[in-house]
Amino acid sequence: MTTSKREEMIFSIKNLKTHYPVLGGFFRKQIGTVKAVDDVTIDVRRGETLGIVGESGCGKSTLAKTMMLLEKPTEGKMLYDFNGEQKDVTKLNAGDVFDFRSRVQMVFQDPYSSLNPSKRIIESFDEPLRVHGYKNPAERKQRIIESLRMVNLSEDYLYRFPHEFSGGQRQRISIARALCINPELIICDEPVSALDVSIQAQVLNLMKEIQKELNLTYVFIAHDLSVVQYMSDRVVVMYLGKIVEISEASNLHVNPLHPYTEALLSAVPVPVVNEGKSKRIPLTGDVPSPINRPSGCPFSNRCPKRMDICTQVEPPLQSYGEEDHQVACHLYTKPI
Amino acid sequence: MRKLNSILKVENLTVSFSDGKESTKILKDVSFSVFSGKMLAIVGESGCGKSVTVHSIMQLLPKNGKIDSGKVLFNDGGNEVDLVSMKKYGKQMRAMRGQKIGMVFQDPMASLNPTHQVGKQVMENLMQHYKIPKKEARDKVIELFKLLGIPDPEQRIKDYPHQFSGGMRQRVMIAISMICNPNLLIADEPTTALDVTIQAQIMDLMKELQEKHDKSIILITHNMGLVAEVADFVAVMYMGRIVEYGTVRDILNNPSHPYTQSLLKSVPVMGLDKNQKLATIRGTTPNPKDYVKGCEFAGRCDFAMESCLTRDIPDINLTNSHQVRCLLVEESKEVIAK
Repeated sequence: MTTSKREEMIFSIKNLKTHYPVLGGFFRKQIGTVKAVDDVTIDVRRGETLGIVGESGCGKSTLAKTMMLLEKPTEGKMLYDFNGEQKDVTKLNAGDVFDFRSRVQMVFQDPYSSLNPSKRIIESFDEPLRVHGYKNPAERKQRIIESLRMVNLSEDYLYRFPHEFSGGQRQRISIARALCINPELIICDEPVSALDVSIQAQVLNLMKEIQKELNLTYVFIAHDLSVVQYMSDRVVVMYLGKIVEISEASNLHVNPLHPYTEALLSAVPVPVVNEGKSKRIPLTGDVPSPINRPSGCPFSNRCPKRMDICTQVEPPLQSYGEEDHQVACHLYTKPI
Repeated sequence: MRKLNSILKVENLTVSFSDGKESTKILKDVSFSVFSGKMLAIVGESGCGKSVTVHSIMQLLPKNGKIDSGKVLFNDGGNEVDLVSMKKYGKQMRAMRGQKIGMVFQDPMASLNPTHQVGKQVMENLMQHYKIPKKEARDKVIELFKLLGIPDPEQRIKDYPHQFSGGMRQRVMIAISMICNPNLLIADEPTTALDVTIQAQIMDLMKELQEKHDKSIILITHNMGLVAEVADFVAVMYMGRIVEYGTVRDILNNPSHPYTQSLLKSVPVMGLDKNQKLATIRGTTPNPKDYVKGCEFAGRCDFAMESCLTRDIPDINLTNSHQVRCLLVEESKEVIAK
């Protein structure tokens, strides 16, 4: 059982911490720490879509950046599967980082700022291909046309500038750019939140099709719970830099365990007229600042089901019920 | 059901924008009513003209925008006044803005002045319209902050916008629009920049204002879920036209315009099967400059007929409250009549 699981693993993140120092005072000394990502352990399995959901400031984007090696982690391991060989990507040499980057690509939130406005589409695509060893220009062009076709754009667009495209087209171009060097894993940071609903649906459908065709693995980050739920196989719910719950996507809305997940689910407006709808669980207050997090459980100061222990001891992430359903909450902590 | 009084009646509002060379119609024949004590939601995608609609009501259009024709009849305590006939910067119009009609904008960080205390910014609106002593104004602000659920109001009024969280900032914005006790509140995407749990708090607050304090609200949003939760009436806009109008039940349970139907189907809802494809609207929103004749949605509609592009499309009453602007509905009605 364990060996078969390990084979599936493509990227396994262990006790990852990304902290930022807060400087202050006359001598700019460190007066505090922002624990943007704190002790996060996730396994990304090959071929799945792992959704990460949470409110702004919960650390989901920092996690994505750290996974892409765009931020330096403070502590922890990130094991990536290089053709069967597990290597910690935080300790790679320059050549291996190159290899890693050709395997893992990213799609960013804002399609307006992630494409260089002064470069034609073909130039934006050409650079990553050249860097990653496609020496022959004709071959590069062929590759670009292929990846544009994959997102239903024709080769007429090659010599256009980003401003000539609509938001949805630009996001498709961003996806095509990530696809062009043939990655295994794509990290998507809020890929549809800047788009209108009808366009959002087009992009989501397209992403699913491409995943099936190329057997890609996605890490899909968004704040919209229903979008994440629809796209993912498993969903990670984050709050203040911590994972509070990991669940099968299909099970999340049926059986949410953590009070935060419950509240988040009940806050999502549903387009059905209000009759016999389940009541919303009101959350008072705002997300606390990650600089001075409440002691114990990070959610303890807003939790409607708070107990005495919650403010003292931090609950560990444990399986509850099924093996794939993990939750960090004292309501479900097993007695030791 | 008691008869509804309308507080605002918009009749055949047509607005065009010019780019120096040619002018393009952005709003075409927009008519709707806002009933007293009810919430009207205007729904549509970006560029459909929903913000232009409310900006025209308030006469806040940019210099290149012009109201070509139409009326905006506002019920000012029994007197019906036409806002369009007022001078843009005239005394009358300025008395309307802020005092009789309050407005909440989308991005609270961009609409609050970062260099002034929030209490001062709320008081400013009050003292602009009423001659009252500063201390009294301050007390009123504190009272309103309490009502809007801002904790510790005596201290918070001295704080600056950056010391507030996003949700609290939006409450301050609502306070600014509410301080003169207007009967009509216009909220332009008030929760788009906020997280879902905070969005729920703000929407609960707006609903409470509407129900307990008998305010009329125009809510602009693109989120059909929000509409279902809070609105009483819904106007769906596409390319500067209201394509469907009705009560929230009419629109959500019996959407009759193909655009409304696909808008509802294209949002994933919780529990949707992963293998099921989302419904999409093909193509993208066309440029309003390219419009010639007929139905604006025809190019993207799955049910488009030849006549959709050649004829003027009438507004058809399905029921007393439900109107839709589509030839398909007209046809099916004719069949039933026969």
